[in-house]
Formats: sequence, structure tokens, C-alpha cells
Amino acid sequence: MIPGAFDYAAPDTVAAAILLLRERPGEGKVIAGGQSLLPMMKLRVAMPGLIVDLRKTRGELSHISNDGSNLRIGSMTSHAHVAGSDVVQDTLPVLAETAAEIADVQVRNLGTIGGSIAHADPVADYPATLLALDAQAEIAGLNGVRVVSVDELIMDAFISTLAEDEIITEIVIPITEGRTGAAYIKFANKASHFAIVGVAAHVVLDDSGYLSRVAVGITGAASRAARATAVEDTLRGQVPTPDAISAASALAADGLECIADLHGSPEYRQNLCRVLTRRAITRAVERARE
Amino acid sequence: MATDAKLVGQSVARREDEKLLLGRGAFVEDIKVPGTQWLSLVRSPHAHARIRSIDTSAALQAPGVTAVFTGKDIHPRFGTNPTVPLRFYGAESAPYDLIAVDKARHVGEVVAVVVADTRYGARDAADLIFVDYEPLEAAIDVEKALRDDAPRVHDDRPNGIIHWRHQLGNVSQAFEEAAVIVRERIVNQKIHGVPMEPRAGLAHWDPVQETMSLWATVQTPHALRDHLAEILHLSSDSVRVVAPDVGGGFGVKHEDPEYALLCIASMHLGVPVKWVATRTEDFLAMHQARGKTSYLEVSADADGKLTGLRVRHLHDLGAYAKGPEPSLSASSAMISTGVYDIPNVEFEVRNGYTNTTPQGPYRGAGRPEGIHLIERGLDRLASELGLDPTEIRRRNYLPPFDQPMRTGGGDVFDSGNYEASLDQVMELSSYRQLREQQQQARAEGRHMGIGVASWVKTGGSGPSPGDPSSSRYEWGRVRVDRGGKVTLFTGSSPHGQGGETVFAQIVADVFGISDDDVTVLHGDTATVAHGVGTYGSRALVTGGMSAKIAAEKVRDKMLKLSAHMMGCEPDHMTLEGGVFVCTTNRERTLPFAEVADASFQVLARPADMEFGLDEDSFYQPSGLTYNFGTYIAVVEVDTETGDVDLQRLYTVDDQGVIVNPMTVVGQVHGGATQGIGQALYEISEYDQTGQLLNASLMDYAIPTAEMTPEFVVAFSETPSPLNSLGVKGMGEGPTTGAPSAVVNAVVDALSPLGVSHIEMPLTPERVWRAIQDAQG
Repeated sequence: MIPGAFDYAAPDTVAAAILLLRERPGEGKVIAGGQSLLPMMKLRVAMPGLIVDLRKTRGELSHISNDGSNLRIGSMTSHAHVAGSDVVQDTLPVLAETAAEIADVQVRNLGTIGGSIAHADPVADYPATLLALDAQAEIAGLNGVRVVSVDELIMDAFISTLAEDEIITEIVIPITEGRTGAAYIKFANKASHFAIVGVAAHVVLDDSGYLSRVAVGITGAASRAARATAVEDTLRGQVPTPDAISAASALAADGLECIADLHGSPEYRQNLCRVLTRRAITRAVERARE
Repeated sequence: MATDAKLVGQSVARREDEKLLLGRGAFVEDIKVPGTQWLSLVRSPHAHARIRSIDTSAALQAPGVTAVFTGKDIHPRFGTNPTVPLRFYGAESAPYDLIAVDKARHVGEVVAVVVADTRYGARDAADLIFVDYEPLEAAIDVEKALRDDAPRVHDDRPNGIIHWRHQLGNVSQAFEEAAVIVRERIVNQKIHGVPMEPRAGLAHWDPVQETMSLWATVQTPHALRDHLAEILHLSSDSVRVVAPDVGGGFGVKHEDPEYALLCIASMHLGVPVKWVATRTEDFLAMHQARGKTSYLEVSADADGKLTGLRVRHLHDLGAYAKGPEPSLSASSAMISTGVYDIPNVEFEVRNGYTNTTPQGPYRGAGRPEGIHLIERGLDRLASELGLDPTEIRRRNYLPPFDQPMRTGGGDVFDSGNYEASLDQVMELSSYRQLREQQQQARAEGRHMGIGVASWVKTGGSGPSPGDPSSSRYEWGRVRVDRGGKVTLFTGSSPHGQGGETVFAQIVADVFGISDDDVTVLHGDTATVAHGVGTYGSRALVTGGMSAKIAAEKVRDKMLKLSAHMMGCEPDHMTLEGGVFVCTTNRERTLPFAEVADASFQVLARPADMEFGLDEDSFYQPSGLTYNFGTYIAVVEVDTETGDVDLQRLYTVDDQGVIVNPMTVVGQVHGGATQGIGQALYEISEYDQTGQLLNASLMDYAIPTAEMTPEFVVAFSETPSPLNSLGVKGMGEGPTTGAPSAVVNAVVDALSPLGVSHIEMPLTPERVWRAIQDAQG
């Protein structure tokens, strides 16, 4: 648990951080809490030549606000902050529910939402919920700010579409009006508490009780988090009866190439996808009806 | 300082806790010596590989590096590791080099050593050592390793070592006549001890005095001292080993080769040298445990009375036979008759080398495996015969006894009262109501399960009777200073068990003084001349008795001295609440401190009495103690995911006389939690090439507080007839009893679905698969 040598910088602004990364191509790594990066460095799986620590940019990047139609979360906002935020609770409580499921108290106090997404760990919790909520990320680079969906940002296991001199600055999540409910249900690896499979469901019911929107994000099952489109397509426009939810959830693993590791075989992960999808949609519908 | 109340039996607050809770403990890493250099180890990435050559030149050039050495460099002078017992049950085990010389035999075996002036420099330089390996086919699974065509771990001998048998009566005939026989292949999976503090050492060679000091996180400082003296060609008194605060032992912190390498490096360089293992190093190279594949056959008559037991145990030693491990496979088989009367018994035990990390003792030391066999077997028989699990046990318990008795398995139990233990736990858990709740749950479609296990665990001695060379004593010394303050020096060096508190209670009671006036010193071989150590549920029995006997010798001398001082007949002197009283004239008393002071005065003493109050005891127990108990676990299983919710564990432990009720409750919580770990979470996962796949706490699950159940803890006290305290060992009992109770509960929950057995650990996927398989 002894990392290799590295240079360290903690710039005061995002702009300065981007310049530092630009100066050391192929060497720099942004640290935004360090709860994933440091363990990898201690195992010498990651040996970056330069660490650019964003801790001094919290003034710029740690915040939660409601702009009327979107929840905006600064990328350096800790999981604990999201889990305990009244603004989140009033707008998109499922995000607080997700944040509260991440790892343990120490990790939640230091780990950040931007760090989690940039890391693109296939078993992280946030991606399931952010995909289900159609979240977007604002990304700062030398040429200014671009906005992409979280779905586009995450490519594959530990690979994002971030350029090496880009930094995520904000996560923007649309707030849904009306009879809406959401839930995140996770089946955790007993050792690390990462998701073996985690499923987020987000539903909107119309005035007649039909599902006008159903979105399901699944993490942990495959090499990246993904939407369960077969489930969504089957349920959309339906009345969410238990039978309808069950029948649709049976399709939850369709199109997913489930991974095999010590904590679950592909068959077991497929089963968890189906079971947790049914449970998550059921809970989301209950909440929408409340 | 005087007190009339007896301290033994009271929940005296642990004197160890305050400094640890305030972060004032001193563990090896906290000990700083100026000029210390750091050691880093190059470990084999292959399970089995010939070492063609090792190029150390780049590492030697690296900044701050002061020494690099390999097995070839040290082998001529320091030879092999005497940790390995060469003879067990007549077998001779393969040598265990401190550093692999020609061949690496498991992933994590040391192949080279680097020392540098910083910890980081040493670690960086280790990456610069180039080892040219020729990978060989590896023997990983013990069952395959024991076949004739398996790759040989040690070139000059087959993998099989020690073929031990035991027979009583006629099992074949019993099976022929039995109403029901259950046969099952059961694996007690390999697991790790995982103490919170990883292994660490700081060696400091004094080139002027030619003495070695080593601070090390071990359970047995004296054994390590003697071991190092042998390797380093020094007298035992030229080696000082200090076990400062030790962050957990659980059986896995003993005489590992790394400590000798630290000493060799310090001798070579003439500077202090330190090493602190990373967690992954401990996973790869600290000994692992359990690792047995067993074939169980057990029979009963139509009334559920056990008639025969046959156990074939295939025990995985790992790459080397380490410590008492080879004998523990036999001990494990012996205890598989449990607390039951079984007239026909047959054991066959085979030990096999594999290309995996060596195995050694871990809390329970072979006995949880043996108990798991019989406790699974009984549940299977009960299910075949339509009996309640409590009823089949009740029909088979050994009757109550208070003097040593030989079991069918060959152990000599000291005392026991097993049916009473069952009655107590059934009352504690409201067992009948639990069964009613289960009926209700099943009607609602919930899968509630109730598991029962009775167990027994060896304690109170040294290594196994299979190892006649083992040291089976413990040493204590009690000294009273001129002010009447008492100091106990004990060779049982506690590391979390509460020994400082408990030993002080015992010694204080001998004198009738407050335990505040008793200091307990341990863990430093320069302060404590002799000792064996704390392991195998032995500290209270052996350390406690040696403390008591040494204190009694001092007390007797003080009685004699006080009689002389008062002109009282010695037979009429008593020590009452720390005050010496002449019973023929109760007006005449002498305070404790006055008598203590007089022992150093020329005129106060009888002419034939030596100065001072300083006595010791080498206590040798006359036999082993056997603590026992019965546990009931309550679970609910989510059959869609296979997740087990362990809701409550009811425990009744009997460890003879209880010295400190609070500490035994703590032992139950901790020990049962480790047993739950084996039942539900823990497994050392090797692939077929011998790579350990979960060598970190990110992948190897040990139970955290949120993964433990509600514990409902109770005790009974059946005194041991073997010692005057009436105590037995107890720390390993809960680790022995909990796994079977939990597994039996899960199988009970799933029995309506057709599940009859699941192998540990009962991970969600394994449980889910068992359900899928049973449902076809």
C-alpha cells in the first residue's frame, strides 16, 4: 500500500488546473476526493506522474441549487452533502437515496459526484440514477464549457469521453413535475459495498394512472451502467400493475453483457437485474402514487 | 487497598481499554528508533516456479538502497526456518527456507529482500529486482494434489504427508445395521484471520553488546525469541522480543520468516530495520486456515440414536507445514464426534502440500471444521427421520460428567453437561415460539430458518498431544515491593483478550487486596523471563493458574513472616482483606505493606527465611479443558437474491468458572462474529494457477458491525476439575459453534424448497444457486 512517486499540485481555480494538466500530457490525473484513485495508487495499479488536486476549488465546484427546472450539483460536492441536502430531498430525493448508499461514511465525506462519474467505475452507484434521470454534465476545457449527457460521458469500464485536460464542473439533472416517483435499490458486494447490481427507476404517472415516463438505469451488471430500454418500452403507456411490472422486468438483462467476477456470475447478475428492476419500479410507482 | 469482596466473578472494567480508546496505544509502527531503515520484500507472483536467476544490480544502484539479499545469499549462514516442525506423527516435513532459494512454492513467498533509508525507497527498489522464473504447473486443490500424478510441491517427496487413522468399534457393521445413513462431501473453506493490525517488526542489532532486540506484533514473544536465537546462532538471552500493543492475533501472528529477515538485515547493516506489512502482503503470506475437504458418513438407528461415524479429512497444508498445523488435522477429526456418544468411529486424515500460502491455526484451530461435520450430519439425519434438530441432539448427548472422560473421537474431555446447555438455549430463545413463528412466516411466503448447533472446543494447553516436543507450561512471577504493591509478570501475553484485567483480579483475590494494587507486566522477554504465550484458549487456564500459584507462594511466605513478627503460631495466621490477623488473638493485626517491608529487613525475618517477596511458577496443566455450548441462529432468506438476513444468534457458553463476565460476553461477540464470517462471507479464492483472487478487503469480506445479528448471550458454569480456579478456555468456542448454527438455519429456511446442504460461505449467489438446483 505504498504508492510510487508523483508530483502534486493543488491549484486555486479550475482554469489553473486545466493549464497544469495541459502542461504534462499523459501524466496528469485529477483527484477529486481520492476515494477511488488513492486505493489504485496504493496498489500501484495507477502511477500518475502528476496529481492535480481540486480541493481548493470547492468554492467554485461544491454547491447544490435548484434553478427552477434543473437540480444543479457542483462536481466537487461530496456524497454526504448530496445525501443530506434539503434541496435534493425536495426535488429529486432518489439522488439522496443513491448517495446515501455509496460505500461508508468516510468515503461519503470525501468522495465527490464529479469524481465518481469521471472515474467511470462500472459498479459505482451514481451512474444508474443519473442515467435514469437523464442527467447531463458540464465540462470545462481550454476551449470553454461543453455539455454532454452522463450517458455519453461514460464510455466503458474506467473509460470516459473526458479529454485529459478537461474537468467536470457541474451535474445538471432535470426536475420532473407531476405524479413522479423514483427509487434506487442496490445489491451490494459484502466486502467493498460496491453494487453487484444496482437499479434506479424513475416513473411519471399521467392523470389516468398510466406511465407516461419510465426510465431504468442499471449499474454493476455490465462493463458500464446502462438504461434498460426493453423494460422501458414494454411498460411505457401501461398501467403499472404488479403483473405488468413483473413481465417488463423480466427483460431487464436484455442487451446487457453481464460481467463475471468473484461476487457474481453473469447468470446471477441477470437474475439480480430482473429482481431489482421489479422492486425498484414497484417502489417508484408507490412513491408516485403517494 | 484492602477489600473483602472477591474480584473473581465480577465485571471489573478492562484496564486495557482507556489508552486504546484514546489512541494512546503503542503498536510496532508507533515505535520510532533514530536511524531506522526500511525493509521491503520481493514476493513470488507465481504459485510454482523455478528461480533461474535474480538480478539485483539495478536495485542496488537505486537511491537510498543499503542492502539487497536473496535466498542464496543468506542460506549458507542462516539455513531454514525452524518454525517448521520436522516431525509430526512420525512424518518428516519439508524444509522451509527463510527466502526461497531454487523454487517459489506459493504466490507471496519471499524471493528477495531490499533495505533502504526510506519506506518508499525500499518499495520502489523492490520493483527493480528482476527475477527470472520458469513457471511450473501448480498443485492448488488438495484433493487433486494428493493424487499420484499431481505436480510435486517439494521435488524430493510426494505431496501427501502424515496419514493418520483412528478406529473405535466397527463402523462398517454399524452402517450395515443402520436405519439411516447420511453421506456428504463437505468443504471447510480456506479463510484468513485478518487482525486489524497487519504484521510488523522493528529489529535493532546492538553490535557492541551483540544483542538483538525485536519489536514484533506477535502472540508469543518467547517462542519468537527462541526461534530467532536458533536462526541467528545466539543464546536466547541475547535476543529480546517485545510484543507491544498488538492489534489482534486470532492465531495468525506467530514466528513468521519475515521477522528473521528483519534481524538478519539489522545484523548485516548495524542499524535498526523496520517492516510493516501491507494488507495484501498479509493476505498473500500470513498463514491461512481451515482448508479441509471432508467426506462425512454418519448413521443412526430408527430412534435417531447415532450408531457410526466415518470421517475422511483431506487437509491442505499449503506450501509448507507450519507450526502445529499438521497435527491440527488430526485434532479436527478427533473432535468431530462432538458432544455425542457414538459407539463406532473411523477417521482417516491425510495432509497434503499445495502451491498455496501455508496454513496455520486461526481461532478454533481445526475444531470448527470437525464440529461442522457432525452438526451438519445431525441435521441431515433429523430431516431423514422427521425429528426436530433439538430432539436428535438430545437423544445423543454424552451424559453429564465432572471428571475426565475419553470420547469416541479420542479426546479426553474434562467436564460437561450438554443437555442442560440445550435446555438453556431453548428457553433463552423461546424455541417453541420460534417454530410457531416459522410456521406463520412460511404461510406468508417468507423463508425463516432456525439453526441449532452444539459444540465443544479444546483449550487450556499448548500445541497438540500429537507434538510431544511442544511446550505445555506457562510461567508467572509475583513480586511484592516494600510498599506492598504487587506485580505479576506473565508469559501469557494478552493482545485484546483482557488478560491484564483478569490476571489482576486473580492475583488480588489471593491477597484480598484491590486489583488497583496489582500491576501486570507482559510481552517483553527482557522483563518476563519465561513464557509460552496466548493462543489456543489457554491464557486464563495456564497463565491464570501460574499467576495464582506464584501469588499463593508469596502469600504463604508473608503468612509465615507475619506470624514470626507477631509471635503467633503460623497455623493461626490468616490474611483477611489484605490484613494479617492472628486468629488466636484477633486484636493483633499487621497491615500488608508492613509485612512486605519487613521481608527486606534483617531483624524482622526468621533466620531461615530468604529476603524479599518474589516467587514464580511454571504451571503445567494436567490435561486439556473443553468448553462447550449450544447456539441457535434465526435467519430469513430472500430466495430471489439468495441474501441471508441473520437476525439473531442465541448463545449459551460454558467455560467453567467465569472470572470476568464482561470479558466473556466480549469474547462471544467477537468469536461468533468471526464464525459468522466463515459461515456467510469469507473465502480465500484461488484460481487454478494459484493466484489469490481476493487479496484485499475490497474483495475479501469480513463482517462489519452492520453485518452482525442481535446477540442474545447467556452462560452456564460447569467447573473444570483440572485446576483450582475451575476455569476453562473460552475464546475459540463461539468461532467453533457459530458457523454450524448459521448454516443449519439457512438450510432449515430452504428445506421446503428441497435444499439439503450448502457449502460455506453462504454467499448470495451460492444460496441462490442451491435454490435453483433444488428446484430443478
